[in-house]
Parts: sequence; structure tokens; C-alpha cells
Amino acid sequence: MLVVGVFAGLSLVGVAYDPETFVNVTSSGYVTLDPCEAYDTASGAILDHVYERLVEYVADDVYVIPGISTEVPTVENGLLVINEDGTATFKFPIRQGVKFHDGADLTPSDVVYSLKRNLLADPLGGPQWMPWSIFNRGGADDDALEYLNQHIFIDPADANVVVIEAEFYAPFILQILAGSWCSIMDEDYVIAQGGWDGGENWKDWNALPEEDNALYDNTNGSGSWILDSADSELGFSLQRNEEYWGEKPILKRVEVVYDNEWTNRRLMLENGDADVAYIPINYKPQVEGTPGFRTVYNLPSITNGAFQFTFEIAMEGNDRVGSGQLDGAGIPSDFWQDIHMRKAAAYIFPYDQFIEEVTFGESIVPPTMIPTALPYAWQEDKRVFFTDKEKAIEELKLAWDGAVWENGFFFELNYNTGNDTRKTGCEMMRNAFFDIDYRFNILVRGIPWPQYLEANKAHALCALVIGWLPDYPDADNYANPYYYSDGYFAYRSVTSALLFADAVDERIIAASKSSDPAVRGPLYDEIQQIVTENCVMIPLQQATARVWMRRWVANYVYAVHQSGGWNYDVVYKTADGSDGALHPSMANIRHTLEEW
Amino acid sequence: MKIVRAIPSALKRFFQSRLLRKLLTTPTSAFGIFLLVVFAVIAILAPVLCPPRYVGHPYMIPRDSFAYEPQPPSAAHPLGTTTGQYDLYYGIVWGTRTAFRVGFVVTFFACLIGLVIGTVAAFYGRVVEEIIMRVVDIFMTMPFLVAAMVMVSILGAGLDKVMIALIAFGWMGYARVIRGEIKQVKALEYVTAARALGAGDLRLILRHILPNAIYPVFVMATMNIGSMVLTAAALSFLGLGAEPGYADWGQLISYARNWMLGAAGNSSAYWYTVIFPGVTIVLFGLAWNLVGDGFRDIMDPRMQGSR
Amino acid sequence: MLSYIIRRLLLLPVVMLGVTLLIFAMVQMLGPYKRLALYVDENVLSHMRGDDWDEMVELYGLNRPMLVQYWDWLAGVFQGTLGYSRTAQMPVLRALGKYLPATAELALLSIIPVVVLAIRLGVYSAVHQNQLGDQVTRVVAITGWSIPTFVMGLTLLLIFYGMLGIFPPGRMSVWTIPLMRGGDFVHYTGMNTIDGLLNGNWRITLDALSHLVLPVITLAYISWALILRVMRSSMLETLRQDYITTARAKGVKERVVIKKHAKRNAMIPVVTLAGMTVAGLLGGVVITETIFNYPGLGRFAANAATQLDVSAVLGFAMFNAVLMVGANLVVDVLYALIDPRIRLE
Repeated sequence: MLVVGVFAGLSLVGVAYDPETFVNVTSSGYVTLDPCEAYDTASGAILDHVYERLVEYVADDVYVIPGISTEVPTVENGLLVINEDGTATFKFPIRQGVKFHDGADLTPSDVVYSLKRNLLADPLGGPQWMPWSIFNRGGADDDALEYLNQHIFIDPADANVVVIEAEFYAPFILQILAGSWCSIMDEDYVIAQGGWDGGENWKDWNALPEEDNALYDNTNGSGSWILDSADSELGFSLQRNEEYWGEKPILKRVEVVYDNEWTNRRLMLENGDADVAYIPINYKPQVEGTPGFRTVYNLPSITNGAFQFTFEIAMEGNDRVGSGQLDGAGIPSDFWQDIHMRKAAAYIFPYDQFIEEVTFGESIVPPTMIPTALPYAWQEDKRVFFTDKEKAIEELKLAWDGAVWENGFFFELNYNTGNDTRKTGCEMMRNAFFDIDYRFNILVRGIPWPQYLEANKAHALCALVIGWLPDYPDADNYANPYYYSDGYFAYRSVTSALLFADAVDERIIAASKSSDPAVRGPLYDEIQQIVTENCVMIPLQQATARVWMRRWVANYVYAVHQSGGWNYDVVYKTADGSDGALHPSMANIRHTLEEW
Repeated sequence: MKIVRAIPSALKRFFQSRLLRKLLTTPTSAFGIFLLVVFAVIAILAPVLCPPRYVGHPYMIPRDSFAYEPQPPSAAHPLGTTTGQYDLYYGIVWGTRTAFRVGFVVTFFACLIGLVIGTVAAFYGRVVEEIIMRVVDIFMTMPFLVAAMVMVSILGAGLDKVMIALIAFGWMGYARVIRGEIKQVKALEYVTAARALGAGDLRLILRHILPNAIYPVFVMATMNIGSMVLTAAALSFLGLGAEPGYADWGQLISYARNWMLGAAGNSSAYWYTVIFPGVTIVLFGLAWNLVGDGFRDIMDPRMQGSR
Repeated sequence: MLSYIIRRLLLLPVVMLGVTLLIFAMVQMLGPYKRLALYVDENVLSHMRGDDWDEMVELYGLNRPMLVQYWDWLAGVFQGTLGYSRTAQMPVLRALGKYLPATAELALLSIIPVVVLAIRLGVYSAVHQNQLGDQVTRVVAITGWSIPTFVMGLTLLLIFYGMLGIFPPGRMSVWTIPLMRGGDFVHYTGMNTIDGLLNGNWRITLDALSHLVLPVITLAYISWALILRVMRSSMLETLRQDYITTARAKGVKERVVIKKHAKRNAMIPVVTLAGMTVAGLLGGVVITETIFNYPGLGRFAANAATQLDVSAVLGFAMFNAVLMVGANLVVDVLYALIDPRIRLE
């Protein structure tokens, strides 16, 4: 008994308030520390702070400011030249006096090496497709090295300037260069770790499995933070870089702790052991009203989700389509190619219930899959599809010349077990159709991830609930994956089977190549018009973001592209634990604040 | 055929035996039997106690909405709801059927497989036996839960897949026991006599050996029914069992994991999500253990006579 | 005796081969695209199209014949590597070494006090059979044994962590992280309770213990109930033996009869059970570790199993095989040593 009591007493003791150490407890873990491969948010969070790039995002918005480059290339300052043939030349004057954490100097040849090395490494499923898209290529082809030698090099006229020759100009090129996948590394260090030696045999380092990439588990950046220790399961620690060339952060130390049990995260936040914690929205009722907590929500987010139809469902050996005929016991492969069927689904879905019950009201139903916060996106007033049972029935009666209404249908919807959003989306669709009549029969079944994965590849799923986390905040990064017929989602749903696919495709390509709002604006407008008219997919939700923190956290700023991450350069804690104010820029960003 | 006939005679001997009488008079095992009877009644009366809402899918727990927050017990939901608005009362009542089904099916097939394999091994002896017992060793060395998880990850979700996994890794105990028993019996005189009279192999096994050797297996099976249900519940808890919304105790209690801290200022706000399914599972396990324990106590020396 | 031990040890490679081949074959029942699930998560999936699938299958050699892939792994084993575990993000051997001390800590704390207590109570119960003390003990034991680990774990968490706020899950508190990852702290054994003391930092030891209380109670209760029952029934049987009656008839004091004659002989089956229990605990207890978010072998193996991290599962299975065969052997030898009637053939 006594022993237990001693434990009890001692476990209540945490540590005294330390204004210089910031603790963030979140879920999951990082995947890799190698910039050529890191694509997930957790890995990105580390690399963003430990490494630097030519240009960086500004703390509170989506445009870029100088990073390793002393200036952002623009037409005005002459560092950006758009040539007659449409190609664009970017010139980046490299900052002097920047050192890596191991003391080595950062030179322009490091910059050239880093960009080339990452592009040539091009791991499968990794982020290098983005910088490659600057060169109109999908990845590292056989002549990649020769090509890159001609397109990324040190300016012969000025040894301090790095030149990038892009195949076209688009404003998001700079945003791509601001991503962690374009981080600047020290050539000598990478080579010492076993990375590409700069020579002809680059293919030996191409498309390696994640554990074989040189910087998989160690870092040497030039950023304002040094990675002190990292464990992909437990978390990582950052130490302020006292030799940093720029403005140093106020915080001295950052601890990020991974804990997949949200109850632990909540308790740590309550005890003050953590300063901020990731709390999933479903558990909001449990934490609202906790003294000392502050939450900022209603923040504009650019993550969204949709209900997507598969236009050419693979039939062979696929139980999901039942009989494969429109006889009431199945559906044919081109079931969704009838626009009335799609519209029926779009009119029957209970949008408000979904928003309310899955996201606790913390999202909106967007008109299209280009987030309303981005330029050229349609705003909510242009939304076409609302829950309307009568209209749905009308459309059902028209679908497949009445065959659907007469016989009904059957098909199966799958979600991967554990994914509640997908599950609820599927179930709501099923219930909505059941509501009209039981002959409109959908079976909702959860399957394990491996099966779900394969079904995706085989185009065997009848419809999918999908979501997208952007790579860079531009309309193109949505139009392409969702609507381009060889884009990621469209590939899976075989959008190319649709008649209007070509019209959409040409516009998407054209809009990505132009920098002129007068050109892009109308193009995106047309794209959105076509996809809405034809009901290519059903936009379900566009999230708003919410963060939870203790009240002593000061200078919190929200940036749309950060996906709920934290910027340790900017945020800090009050010296005595009193309330900290938000960053001044928050006055211009839509948000709601609550604290107790 | 013959083996089918062997079972009723063994059962008959059981029911007429002192064993049953003793079980009923010992307070602990009597309580266990009482609990089992209660559970059986609940299982049988499930459609009456909780009429299914989804025609043709009685095991799908009805839900009024999709909201996440569990609701406390009320008139509409006597035991409250767990996350996702699954009715706890319905889940527990129909979960009783699931429990019995899982217990009996898994035990029956595991027992059958074990019997066949063990009998073959014991009867043919030497090389065959050696090989078979090594295979049994291999299976026994497999980390059970991990192997079951791999199998479920491969086969997919669903209670039937869980049952397959449990059967695939649960037959070894029976094989060992029956093998040991048969080897003992094989040496007995009447078997030698039967063989001298010219009885063939199969006839020997089925007619003479098995009926006597099967008794301990039967006892083992009875005691395993409870533990199989608990293991299935454990797999459900880990997310590998029945599909979401299926009436299964393990799954019901797994939903409670994320709500056990309660709301701000009220740490026991969602106690019912843990307590109701938890108590049910415990009582079920307790019932089987009490009966099984009673078996053991009584089987100990004094049982020798009625074999 | 020696030949018996050697023969049993020779079994080990056979068993290991059998177990790993069986698991491998199970996983290979899935097509290559499904096995890609280990390398492709939601994020990667949303960036894949066209040729990417086949390229990845090629890269990881998933479409080679099953025996080729198995041989590949086996060859690695002979060279001393168990492959790379994606779920742990480190080589399998290193992962096993990382998680073993945590599980060992849990196992040792759960078994040692338990065995002592169970033996004493088992003897007591048998001696006072069917009296109040016996009945109470048996009821407490049976209840403990009937509560599945996940129910007990959850309820304990609800009461102590949820309502009282003490004994948190996980292995260590956040404030220990900079202390333990820093260069000053030497990890002698990997077990934080011991390392804390060896490093002179008793606060770390106490923090480790406070995280261990609930999982240990959960495991200990169940082990205790099992051992108690075996001890009791074994003791009852021993007390009925002829030599006990003889000793009593000779006028030996009851206490001596029990302690000197009965108890020692009755302990034999307990030795077996305790040995196997330790081995089982060392192999990691999946459910307890999952509930308490305790980073041990069980949780590692469970994660690997659900994500089809084949090398990790195989490595774990091999480790488990060594444990089981070893424990079986040790127990059998001990059995033979203690009871002269047993002859190992």
C-alpha cells in the first residue's frame, strides 16, 4: 500500500514550467529523414525546420520569401526571364556565410548537387515528380543526368548564382522549390553517408527502397533547428541552432512526442506536460471546457474529400458488381457513365448530416474540388447539388432509360477498416438509397488495407470516398489529381472513359502553363463548369482546421499550406505562463478562438 | 458413423454420471451452470428481447444516427449507446448468440481436427507419429495471437475468418491429449484380445479405442469453449474481428477505449461503455471457468471409477 | 540426460524452419499487389498511378516465386541478418533488441512476486481445503482468471488513469525524454527501472515503475490465479499420497509434514507452469501492451502482423520458437532433476 502511495505521489509530479522548451504531442511518426523521399507531413515537419531551401513560405501566407537565395526571382528584379519559346530561366543568388550544422559552408555547388541528387534519386511514390514537372518530365529518364546538367547549373557569369532552366513558367514553381523535397544538403556529407557521388552511375542510387537512401536516418541541414535525436516511434527533439545566419527562434528546444492514444495526448495537455496536442475532432465534446485550454478553429483549410465514381469498373472476378447486369441484382461496368445516375447520387446524399456528424460541423460542402480559399476557385454560392429527394427520384427514373428505376440495383461499397470517414460516407449513401426503396441496394463492407489497396489498383471498387492533402497551394494541385484523366484519382476512376475528358484535360494543361490570371481565371472557370455540369464526382467536404493548445502559447500563426503543423521559428511560450497572444497576422485570417 | 455413435454413448454416460450430480451440488460450479443457463436463455430469446431492425441482418446493431458521442442509459437505450450510436443493450443480447456460436463452432472443429490427427498419429506410431508430432510442435511454437492476426490480415475481416484462424491454431491440444490417451488404451488387454480375434484397424479405432479415450478430450473441449470466446473477443478488441456494427462483445468494449477519460470535469461520464460489455464478458468467462474448475476438482482421483 | 538435451536442441532448427515456412506460405497466399500494402500507405496510394504499381512490385521482388523469396530471407538469416522491418523502421534484429528489455522488465516484475505468493496461498488453500480461507482464495483467483486482459486493463485504466489521473499508460513520461536520450544516461540493460538506479537517477526508476504498475497488476493477477490453482490441486493430490499418511502416522509434526514432504513434491507441476508462463510473458503480451501503449515485443509483433511486415513477423516467430523450445527443455530437465521417478527417454 505504502509503495503504491509513493508511486502515486511521484507520478503526479511532472516538471516545472519551462518557457524555453516546447512540447508537441501528436499521433503517428515520421517515415524518413531523407529529403529526396519524405512526403508525409510528419517527416516534412522535421525537414522544414532542419533544412533550408532556395525560397521559403512566409509564415502566414502562401507566397514565398528568400531562403538560401537572397532574392525571390521575379520579372521585375530581372532574376526571372520568360523566354520567347515559353521556357523560363530562374536565377538564384546564393547567400554567403551560411553554414551547415556540422560546420561546413554552404556553397552554390551544394545547391546544384542537392537538387540534382534528389531528382535523380526519385524514389517510387515519392515527391520528386513535382520538381520534375518543372521540366515537363514525369521522373528520372535514362538521359536524366545529361538533361539536368544543362538545366541546373552555376551561372558561368557569376559563381554565386544558381540557374534553373524550366520548360515553362508557372507561379507554383517557386512553391515547389519551397517544399522539403528541394532541401539543400551538403554534398560532402551526403557522399560520406553513401549517397550519389556526382558521377555517371546515378542509376545505382535511383528508386531505392526507403531504408537504402543515404540520409534515411540522419540529418545535416543549415536551418534554424538542429535535430538532436529522433525515433520514428517515440518522437524527436530539436535544438536551436545558435550559429544560424538569420533570425533565431525564441524557443530553445522543441520536443515532439508521438503517441497514438489520443487519451494520453489529452492528459498530457491537461497536465501541462504538453503545450499543444493533436486532438481529433470527434472527441471535441470531451475536451471542451477544460480550464487552461485554448482552441482556435474555423481556420480555412485546403484539404477536401469527395465521393468518386468508377467509370469503368473491372468486372472479372469482382463480386462487388453482383450480377453485372441492370437486373436489380448488380450493376454493369459503365453504370456511372449515365449522367442521371450520378446526379441521383449527388441529390440523394445527406450532405448536412455528413458535415454535422462526421466533422462536427467543422467543414463546408464545397462546390468543386478546388478549395474555396485558393484563387480561381468557385465560391459556395455556386454550389449546385443539395440534398433533394424529389430531384434524386426524378434522376433515378431517367437513369439508363428507366432500367434502374424498374429493376433497382445492387453493388458493394468498401472502406478500409479503421477509416471512419470513408465508412460513414459509404453508409450514408447506402441509407439514403434504402430510404427511397430497398431495391436500391448497396452493401457496405470494411476490408483490410491490403485488399483495399489491390482493389484500387484493379479498378474494382464501384465508388470511392477519397481525400486529398495538397502538395502546394495552387489550383493546379487539385485540378490535376482530381480531374485530369491521367491524374491520380482520375486514373483510378478511369475518367478518360468520359466524353468530355479531353476538353477538361486540355484546359488543365493550358492553365498550368500560364502565369497570367487573365488566362488561368477563365480556364479554371470553364473546368469547374464542365465538371459540375457533368457531375464528375460529388464534393463531400472541405475541412476547416482546428488546433488545441495551452493558453500560454504565444504568437500562434496559421498558414494554409502547413496542414495543421506548427512553425517553431515563430511560436513561443510566455515567460511566466500567463496568456499568450496570437500572431498579429491572425487578424487577417478567418478564425474563431475559445479558451477556458 | 461409428464415431457419431460413439459420441452419444459418451454423452449418455456423462449425464448419468456422478459428475453431473456433483457439479450441481457444489456451490461454485452450480453458480457457473446457473450463469450459463441464463446466457443460453438470453441467446435463445434474442429475437424476442431485441427484435432486429435490419431485415436479414439481425447481428447488425441498430443505430439512430452516426454521431460519435456515446449516450448514457435512457428509455430508448436501456444500457446506453457507445460511440457511433450503437445500442449497447442490443449488442450485448445478440452478442450472446455470437459468443455461443463462436465458442461451439471453433471448439467443435478444432476438436475434430485434433482428434483425427492425434488418432492417426497414435495408431500408426513410429515414423508417422514422429512426423505428425513434429508438425504439432511447430504449430504449438507459433505465437498464437500473432499468427491469428496474420491470418486475419490475409483472409480479411469478419467473424468467420476469425473462427478459421482460431481453429487453425487451436487443434493441437486435442491432438496431443487423444494421442496420449490412445497410446495408453492401446496397451490394454481387451484391445489385444480384439486384435487377436481379427478386428481390422478402423474398427479397432472406432469401436474399442476411441469411446474410452475420448473422455478427457471432451472435458478439455468444454473448458476451451469459454476461452475461445474470450480470445475471439480479444481479436475483436484489436480490430481484427467482426465488422464494425456487428453484435460482438469484444468490439463493443473496444469502442470504449477512446472515451474512458470522460468529459472535461467529469471523468466517469462514459462509464457505461466499459462497464456493461465488460461485466458481460467477465460473467461469461467466469461461468465457463467455474464449471471447468468443478470438472477438474471432481475428476481428481474420485472420478477414476466411473470411466 | 545429455543425449536427451542434444536431441531436443536439434529439434530447434526444424521447428524454426517449419514455423517460418508456414507463416511465409500464409502471407504468400496474397497476391503481390496486396503484399505491397506494407510499402504503400494512404499518402503514397494517393500519388500512384499506371506503372508505379508494377515498378514497386519489381523493386521489392514481390512477384518472384515463393520459394525464391523464402530462400532470399533464409540466406539473410545465415548471414546474420533478419531483414528490415518497415513497421519498426530498423533492421529486425535491432528491433527485437530494442523491444526485448521492455518486455523483460514487464515479465520479470509480473512473475517473480506472483510465484512466491501463489505458492504460499496454494499450500494454505490445500491444507485448509473447503474452509473459508480456501473458498475466498479460490473465488478471488477464479474471478481474476475469468477477466480477460483487455477488460481488466481497460477498467484499471478507467479507474486509475481516467478518474484518478495516476499510473499513466506508455513506458515513460515526457519529462524523462531529454534525460534519457541525452549522452549522460547509459543504457546498461535497457530496462529503465534498473538503468535508473545504475545511473543514480531514482526519479527515472520511479517514473518507470509508475508506468508499470497497471500492466503488471493485469498480468500478475492472471498468472497468479493460474499458478495458485495448479499449486493447490497438486498439493491436494500430494497430501493424499501414502508417504504423507506414513509420515503422519510416524508422529511427524503437521507443519513439518507440509513444508518438508508435501510442498516440495507438490511444486513440480508449478515449476513447469511457471517456466512456461515466463516464456510466454517474454514473448510479449500483445493485448496488455496494446492497451497500455507499452512498447514491447507483443505490440511490435502485433503491428507487424496487421501490416504484413513479413520479415518482422518471421523474426519474431523465430525468437518465439527459441523461447518456447528453450523453456520446454529447461522445464523438462528441471522436472527430471527434481523428481527421480521421471526418466527422460
